[in-house]
Amino acid sequence: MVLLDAGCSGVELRDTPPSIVAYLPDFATEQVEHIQQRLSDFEALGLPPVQKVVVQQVADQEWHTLWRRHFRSRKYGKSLRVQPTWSQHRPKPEERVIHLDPGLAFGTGGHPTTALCLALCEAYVKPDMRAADMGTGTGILSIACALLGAREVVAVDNDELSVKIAQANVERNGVGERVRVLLGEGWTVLEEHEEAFALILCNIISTFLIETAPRVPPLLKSNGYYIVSGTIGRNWHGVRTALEAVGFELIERRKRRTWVAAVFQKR
Amino acid sequence: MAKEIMTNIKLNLPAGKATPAPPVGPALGQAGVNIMEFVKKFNEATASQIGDTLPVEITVYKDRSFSFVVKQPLASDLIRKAAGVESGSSNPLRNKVGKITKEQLRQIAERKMPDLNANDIEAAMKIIAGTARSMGVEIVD
Repeated sequence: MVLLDAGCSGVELRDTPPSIVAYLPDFATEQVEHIQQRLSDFEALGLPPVQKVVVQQVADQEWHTLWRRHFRSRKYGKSLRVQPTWSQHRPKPEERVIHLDPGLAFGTGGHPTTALCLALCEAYVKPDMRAADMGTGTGILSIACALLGAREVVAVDNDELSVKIAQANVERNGVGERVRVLLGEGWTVLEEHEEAFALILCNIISTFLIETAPRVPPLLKSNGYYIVSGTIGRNWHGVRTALEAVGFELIERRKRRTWVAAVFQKR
Repeated sequence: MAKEIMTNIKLNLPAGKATPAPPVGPALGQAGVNIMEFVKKFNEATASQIGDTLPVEITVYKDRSFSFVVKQPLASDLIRKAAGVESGSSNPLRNKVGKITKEQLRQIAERKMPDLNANDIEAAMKIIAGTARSMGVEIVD
């Protein structure tokens, strides 16, 4: 509680040796003294005293690349392949390859929600479609749409870093002329585009899908598809109810582990 | 056959708002877990509890897959809510910021009981009372 109050975004509890690891951003290092003062008060409050406080500088983001060795080239659906930029794998000529450096953005294909979306893109994206990708992360789904023939894709994210990463991935895949990556909050940036989309993808979380459901139909053409993902089984009913209430019809639902993705059509 | 466990990681994280920033990044990155995958799963599972800080225990298996269990909100969050205060005292020895009743203390202890190393409700109440003291929240009859 002392650590969280001081601005730590979370703490790690270790068993061996029994210890608590908390991280403070550089700009908040003046909090260290305050934390030490509060911890030293524990004994006077009748709480177990803190034996030792160690303060260390942590190299920025050195942890970030550690998991990458486990992210390998992988095939999705019939023709899509996600290939990390550091992979030596040789894709087959008939495969549609998404070259990806995820950086700190979401979307490698390894997560069931993204994998489900990739498979649904393959089934529903048709040549010359105009599509939108809400919460693009690495840009993986937008790139997939472009490789599957979409005429234009508008990719949106509210995270500046994700937008930069997605833009770099779009250019890396040679689809920069068809995929536009925009920084924006929620649906507002798409509402500014006059032409309605034939297909919209949204792989975020169920609360977002539910809360923003009424804003989606005006962005879609008649009979347009809304592909949603990012919801766990127990939240699925709420998502379906919210989307049906605004005029969508459920066309298809797919499940992988506890995750659900679905295709709705505007009626 | 049960999957072989590589490590267990315990974190306290804001419900629905975890990010790849520390402590998630360093703790999970070293274990080879896809950080964004965990963040997304955690945020989805805890979206209805935004505002609480939740203890989560993550089990990482040898194949780098993982599962996690989310526990009851931190005692300090429950105390804050019961006392109707925004935050704890910055100087709990001198400045008291609020009060909770013994009954409220008991309710919090009962809710946190499964997560505490306590044999009975009385012991659990002592632990919660200690947390309240460290926040400058008094226990009243």
